[in-house]
Amino acid sequence: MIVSTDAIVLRSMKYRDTSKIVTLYSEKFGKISVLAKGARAAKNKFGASLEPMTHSSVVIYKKERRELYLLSQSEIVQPFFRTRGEPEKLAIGLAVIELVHLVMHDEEENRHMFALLNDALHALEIAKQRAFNVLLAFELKLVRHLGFAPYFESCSRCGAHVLEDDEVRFVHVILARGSVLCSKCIVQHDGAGIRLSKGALRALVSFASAPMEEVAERPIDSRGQNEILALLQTYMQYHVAGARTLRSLSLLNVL
Amino acid sequence: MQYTSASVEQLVEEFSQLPGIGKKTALRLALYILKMPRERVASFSAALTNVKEKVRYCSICSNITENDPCIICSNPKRNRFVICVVEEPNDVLALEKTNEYSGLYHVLGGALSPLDNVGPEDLKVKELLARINDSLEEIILAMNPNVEGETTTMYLSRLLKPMGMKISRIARGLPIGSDLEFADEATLSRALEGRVAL
Ligand SMILES: [Zn+2]
Ligand SMILES: [Zn+2]
Repeated sequence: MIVSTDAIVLRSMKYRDTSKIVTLYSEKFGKISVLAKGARAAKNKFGASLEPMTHSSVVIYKKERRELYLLSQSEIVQPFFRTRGEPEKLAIGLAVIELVHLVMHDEEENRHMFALLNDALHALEIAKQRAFNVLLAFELKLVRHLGFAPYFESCSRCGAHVLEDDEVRFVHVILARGSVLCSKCIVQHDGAGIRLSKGALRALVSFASAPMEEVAERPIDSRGQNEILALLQTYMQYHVAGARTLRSLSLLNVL
Repeated sequence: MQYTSASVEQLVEEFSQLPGIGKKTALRLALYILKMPRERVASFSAALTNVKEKVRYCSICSNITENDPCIICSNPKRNRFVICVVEEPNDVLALEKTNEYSGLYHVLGGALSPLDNVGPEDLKVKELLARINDSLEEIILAMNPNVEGETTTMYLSRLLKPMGMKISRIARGLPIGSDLEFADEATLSRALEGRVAL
């Protein structure tokens, strides 16, 4: 069986003397691992198309009873060159593919997920400021896509529209229910949630509805970004199997 | 699989721990060893022991060596004002084959890769910083042309730039995704020649 598909490279690992085992998020088959023979040799037909974050068009085939797909051709569709050259974008791009690698299962076709990933990498590539918003929006859209969409717009107890109500100064997110309690209702609730400032909440709600390429333009300061990141990572670890702190983000501290 | 000899089973087990060797290949290797003359097996096993007992890391450049400092660090003819930073000992061998470079090396022991849990503290970065002094003129960064190598170049250039010496990286002529150790001498010479300041 020979098939071609578009794919984003998630990981590339050395295999034997000159080969690589490459994990792809493909449009037609979801997450798959392919063997790229000779991919580390100086002269090889794959070129730079197997570098992490690259969007490539690949031709793969599978021998019967073999675990691994074999890669026969691969060409770059989009290298996301600017993302690779800027420290902050690089760390964020690597975090995006790390997340997909962690939470998506092998061989489950999911075109919507492929599009979401591709959109995020494009948005990152063109972002002129606040590239970090792309990661936050991607995480939010990912949990929604996996079926754990949080509902943040009104208080789950009194129904207050938390963003419009001036008396609400902050909210608590209740992880298990994916809902929020307004600052007035928190006192009557025994299980504490995760505190989110109103500014961060406003940005989060706007990320949910904004197209990916616009999220970097949404105003938010770095404190708000960190609040949202902490919330989303905790939320994801609560609901999504495989989720953990994204190691790639450690690059933000050293690059 | 049911083995009829515990020694063979143990050898297969040991071989299959090596990178890129599966159970089938391990068994083939073990049976091959069984057929080898006794003297050759003895010299093979001595080589294995020696590599662990005699080989160490050079206290200056962190390359593998039997004498500390290594033959490159202790060679008075080498240019002591230039250090070329590489990921692995293999890369030193590849660059030496070009006969183009006469400076010293520094072997990091890998590249930054958060996914593999390799951070700056896992590389010989402290050791590199300890070698920097006023007489040093240039540091050449010669990482593999892949995302981990790029990340490492970015990290080191930010770290070293404030220290005043020239920082350069080998030219981008090397095929991206390939390993530096597999580049032919001509390509590697050109990459070294065409290095650009950071
Ligand atoms: Zn309320
Ligand atoms: Zn040395």
